[in-house]
Amino acid sequence: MSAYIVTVSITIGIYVILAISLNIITGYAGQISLGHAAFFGIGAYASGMLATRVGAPFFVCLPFAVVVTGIVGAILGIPCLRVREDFLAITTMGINFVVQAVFLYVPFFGGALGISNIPVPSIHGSDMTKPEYLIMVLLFILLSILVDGWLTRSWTGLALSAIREDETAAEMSGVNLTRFKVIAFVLGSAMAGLAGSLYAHFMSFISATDFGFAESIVILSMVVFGGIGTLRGPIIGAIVLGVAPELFRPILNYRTLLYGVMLVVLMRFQPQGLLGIDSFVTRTLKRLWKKETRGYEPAA
Amino acid sequence: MNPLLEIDAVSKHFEGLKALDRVSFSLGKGEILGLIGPNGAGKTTLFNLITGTFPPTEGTIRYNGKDLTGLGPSRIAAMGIGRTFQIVRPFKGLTVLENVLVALGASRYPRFLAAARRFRADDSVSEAKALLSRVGLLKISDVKAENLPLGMKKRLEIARALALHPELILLDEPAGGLRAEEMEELVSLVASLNREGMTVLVIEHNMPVVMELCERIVVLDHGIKIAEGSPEEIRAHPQVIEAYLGREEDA
Repeated sequence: MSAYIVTVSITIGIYVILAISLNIITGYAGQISLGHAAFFGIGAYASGMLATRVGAPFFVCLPFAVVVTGIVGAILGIPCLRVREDFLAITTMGINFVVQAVFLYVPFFGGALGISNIPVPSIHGSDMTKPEYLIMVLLFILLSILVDGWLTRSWTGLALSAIREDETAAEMSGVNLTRFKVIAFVLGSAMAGLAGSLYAHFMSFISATDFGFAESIVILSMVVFGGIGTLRGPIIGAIVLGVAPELFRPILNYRTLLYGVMLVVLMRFQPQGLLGIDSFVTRTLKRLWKKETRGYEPAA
Repeated sequence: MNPLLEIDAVSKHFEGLKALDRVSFSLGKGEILGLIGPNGAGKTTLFNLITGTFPPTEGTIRYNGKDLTGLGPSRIAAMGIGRTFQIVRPFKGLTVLENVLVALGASRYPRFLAAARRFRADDSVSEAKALLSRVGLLKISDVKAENLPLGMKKRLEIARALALHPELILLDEPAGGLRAEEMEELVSLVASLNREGMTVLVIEHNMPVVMELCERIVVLDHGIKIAEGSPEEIRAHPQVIEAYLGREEDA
């Protein structure tokens, strides 16, 4: 495999984790977030700074980043508990700008210079190669999928869907809104922190500009494009929207523009996303599948 | 015998508007009480106070002798007060079965480890199905709630309320908007629940339904309790007649 493909795959893999994590907050719990890149950034900074300032090894930095981002997610989630829908969208957007500004203007976080020379993780005393790094990213994707699968099958996941569908009815059915919204924010943020750590140690240099509002929109586009509220949706969305700019190099500069147009078109014609529940593609695939398996059955 | 629910001099003011003004009544175990009154009388406000949507401005509400003030809606629901809504609120995107399962989880949600377990376990699914068969929705347990007609949505809300293992259910206009036969089904469902020992507090505009179901009726008008008594007493009560005739005059 060429180094180029490995590099692109790692980047897309990190986006897959980000999309899965945002889907927990926005897809399952129904809490719109326009600031997910903030948590991506917090994870990246936590991991990168622990590695460069303290000299901690990667396998300490990564769980540290997950825990820190989860805690910050809980704290920043609190103002989000009192607002709904469009106000929540604005609040999370604001959080993104504030977090980015803190990284940019507080000297402790390296200011405009960001954090550089973040070491590559080492295994058995030697630096990890890129293919090895890709395998590690894939393992973490698998872990994220397992966490997601556990969540959707658990009472916690059911409580989140109840909140998404109707907050008042959920409360009256015994679901504590505060508790479960915080759980969704913590899980989603912690997973974004994981992606941030993987990003920091892969890029070796990070700065505040990597984690802006536009990045949040890119992540949200992936979730919405693939099909919000499902597991397959964010994964496929991250892969397709991650690969597309690589295949069609000339569009790279217009990436955010195209994502924006795509979001508008999808919202108008296919709000459940490409592979969402009951989307055009899903229905067609189901129909084809049924035809194949039941081909010889007499029509009912 | 101690009453199950005691409403004790409860007031609710919304910035000067007295939605409820020192309303008191109590509800004994196994009783079925009708709450009637013209639009804007404060009936739904009282339901919202009982279920903890907002606290009373004054007065206390006790359930099984316990003061409910300051407890959130989820706590109160888990204590065993189920409710349905005037404008139905099923979880639209979830299936009929999942709707009931959500409320069955009420005892599990406060504990992290219990909430981490699988919700489609055999015991919970069979219990949810038993409740659905109780309200006659078992056959469509895998249909999404948004696709049900109104009468079924209302019965689904009752099943969801029953999943809390309640001692008391609050029904907000259960017959509202229903066709005659749907209404009959619903009335007989509520009556049979009550016969099995369920305490019911019901808001209803349809007088024949109220008269058929309820042993006792409380009448609210502009936030004040104007009458309480048996259906016969209420029918003959001058203030009640005035309150309702006044409303017809407005219309």
